[in-house]
Amino acid sequence: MTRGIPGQFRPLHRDSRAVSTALGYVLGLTISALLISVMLYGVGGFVEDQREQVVREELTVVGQQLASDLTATDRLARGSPDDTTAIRIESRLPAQIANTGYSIAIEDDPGSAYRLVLRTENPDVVVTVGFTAETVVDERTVSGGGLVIEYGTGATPTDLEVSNA
Amino acid sequence: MRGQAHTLEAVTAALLLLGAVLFALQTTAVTPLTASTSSQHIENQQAAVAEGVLVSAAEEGTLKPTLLYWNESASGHWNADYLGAYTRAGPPTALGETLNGTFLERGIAFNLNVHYVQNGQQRAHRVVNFGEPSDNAVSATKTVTLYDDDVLRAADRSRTTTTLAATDQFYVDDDAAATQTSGVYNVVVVEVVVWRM
Amino acid sequence: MADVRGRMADARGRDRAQLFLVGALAVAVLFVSLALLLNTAIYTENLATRNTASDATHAHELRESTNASVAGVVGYANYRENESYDTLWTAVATGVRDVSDGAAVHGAVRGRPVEVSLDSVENGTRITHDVEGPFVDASATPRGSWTVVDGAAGSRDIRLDVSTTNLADGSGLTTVSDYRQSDLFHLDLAESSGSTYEVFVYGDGADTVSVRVIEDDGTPDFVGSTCSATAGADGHVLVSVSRASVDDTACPALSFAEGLGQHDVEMQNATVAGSTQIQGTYELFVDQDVTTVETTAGPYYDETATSQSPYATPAVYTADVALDYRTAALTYDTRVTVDPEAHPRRYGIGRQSWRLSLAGGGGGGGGGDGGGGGNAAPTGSVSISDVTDEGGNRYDIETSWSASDTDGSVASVEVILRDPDGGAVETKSPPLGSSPVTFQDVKITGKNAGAPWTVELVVYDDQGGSTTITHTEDLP
Repeated sequence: MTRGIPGQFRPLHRDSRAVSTALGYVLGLTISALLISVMLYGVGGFVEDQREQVVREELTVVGQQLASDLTATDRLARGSPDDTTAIRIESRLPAQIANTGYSIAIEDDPGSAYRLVLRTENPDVVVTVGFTAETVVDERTVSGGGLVIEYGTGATPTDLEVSNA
Repeated sequence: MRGQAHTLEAVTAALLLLGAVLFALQTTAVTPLTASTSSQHIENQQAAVAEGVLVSAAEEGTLKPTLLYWNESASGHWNADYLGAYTRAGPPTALGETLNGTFLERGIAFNLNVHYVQNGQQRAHRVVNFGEPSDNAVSATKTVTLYDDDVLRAADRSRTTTTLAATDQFYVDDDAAATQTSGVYNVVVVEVVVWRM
Repeated sequence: MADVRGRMADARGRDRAQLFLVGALAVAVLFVSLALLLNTAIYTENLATRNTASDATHAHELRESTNASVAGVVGYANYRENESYDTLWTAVATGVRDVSDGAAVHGAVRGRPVEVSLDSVENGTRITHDVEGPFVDASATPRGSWTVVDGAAGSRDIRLDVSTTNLADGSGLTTVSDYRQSDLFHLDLAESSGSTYEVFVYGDGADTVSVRVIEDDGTPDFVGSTCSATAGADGHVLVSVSRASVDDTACPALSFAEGLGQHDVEMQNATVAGSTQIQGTYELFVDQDVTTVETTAGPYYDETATSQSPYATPAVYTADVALDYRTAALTYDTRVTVDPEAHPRRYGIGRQSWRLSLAGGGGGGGGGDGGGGGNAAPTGSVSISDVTDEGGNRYDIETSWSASDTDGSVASVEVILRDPDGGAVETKSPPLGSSPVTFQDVKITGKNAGAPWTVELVVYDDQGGSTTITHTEDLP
């Protein structure tokens, strides 16, 4: 059977001696499957990593913007030493970051320092941005999107209040 | 027949591949930070510097003397270059020296405009005119009130004896002429427009 | 068997190819999501460049300029329209309305409506002594120790333009009791419930005026250290209690004047046993009705009496205006209490850091924006001493200059080089005495070569006078 033209070997690709077809089949499929899945896992992990980094960066930028709006309102409120001052600033932050919603919590630090804690659920990222304000800022949690900073109106007129628009 | 199907398949596959490559290439975008002569950060910085120059000039009292540095007989500013405005550098006053030192020496051109009120409209008067600002220009403004008894300045920056109420050759008209008792001559907005040359 | 083998081999290849295809598709989808993420990152960078809070900065600037504008209106009314509280109120109200109309037009052009309206006006009194003389009152036998105002709710803009002639000398005094037992002049601000501040003004050597503050809250103590200034050519030193400065130097000891409660203002020892301890001019504003001031303190001359001082006129002490400002993202409603102390002085004693050697006579509206009297203009000379050719049509032009002032001193000079068209090529402000001054690398080409160039010398003296001297020469 392996003998074709006398005196010559058969070409290798037609030589199927000592090869178990089932094993070859399984090996080939397994190796290529392994290759593909490892590649997918690597790229998927890479994309996930990039996503987390992008979300972290954007949360930092959004936090810095809100902090600068809060400190500007605080400066304006301090420069108007009168009970009848009313200030209302709209801070237009993006509603979603990388297609996930986020929440902003304002927390009090000792002294006149405050902390903005920005959180997203998926991926799980927490970013803290600190700022100082002489006027008292109400501690609360709002969801990301259009925000309104008010002073002189609302429940406590001497406090800066942040709420969703 | 099978050959045709194979060929079609190959052509479609090639087109798909090409489309994917083109789509991937489009993901590089042009942002505001890739502009040629100026980036957004530089514009923000220039706006802040212009605002600082105006505020400090108002604090030191050098802003109004520049507005009043006016030659009645020539109907232009003293030693102006062209059509009563300065086109080569700032005016020879303290504010002009500040503007020259802050902007001109760094290759940043600036216009100094004075917007005043006339018959309920806003009019513009150019003190320094370096031409048409580029697309990346920024501006800063400061509101100043001129009074009836502000005096014009002479060429050597000293005070003359001509008050604004007495002259009618000033580039700003008396908007509150009907109510002489208030002493307000006009409310003007001083605007500095800066851009990189 | 060959058939089966062939088919098996085919199957292997096809399955592998299918796997590769599926894997490639999945990777492609992942890369597309990566592209979307890149877009988010680019948007984040864009977001970071936005100039936030610029609306709040504009609101702040508007508040400051409204404060300055209404302070100017109040100043104008206090010196030009001060016949009665009614005329004052009309002047301030029309002024605020004019400011509001002007600001509204400018705001409307940018889509930011602005409105300023007058809320209330606090009536006060302006007490002026604007004829050079000792700080005595207006009684038949002038007293050197007298009450300027009794129980005023507040005072502002207390300025004393003190002359070095007839100024009692207090150099060498060191302790608190030394000062209090001496005959030196002192201005007392006595709080009704609090301490008394005694501001001693005395001479300290030739042409020097010194100020020392003693606080008496039961135990008298010095406040801060001595502030001194040397009088200029006009022989006067401006002691500004409200701005805490003596001439142009800051004097932290005088900053007690901020935030005083209800207090009396008294002058002590302006004359002692007939000899003058201090003379000059002064002015202050108090938060008390003018009729109350004239009955409970002084006495004062009638304001219509010419060349007589001191006198009291109605004045606006402070005003409250309501400011309304709207932009797309900002709403700002506030009340601004006008603070005339914080803005450059346009009227009265010690305005714009000029010293008046002699203000006008008594009566309402003394002062205004004229110049100080009797100042001789400075003199000087300028010439081109040397022209050096640096090559390439560039020249170094050396100019020698000199400047002098007969009745004072030269404050500063400017040397301006003008080309034949009259445009200023270069301006130098050399320090005094540093003649000659060289203009380096001046380009002289074309029609400017061989044409008349001008060197201009502007000399400023310390009383605001100035002279311009020019010298024209053909260059090179």
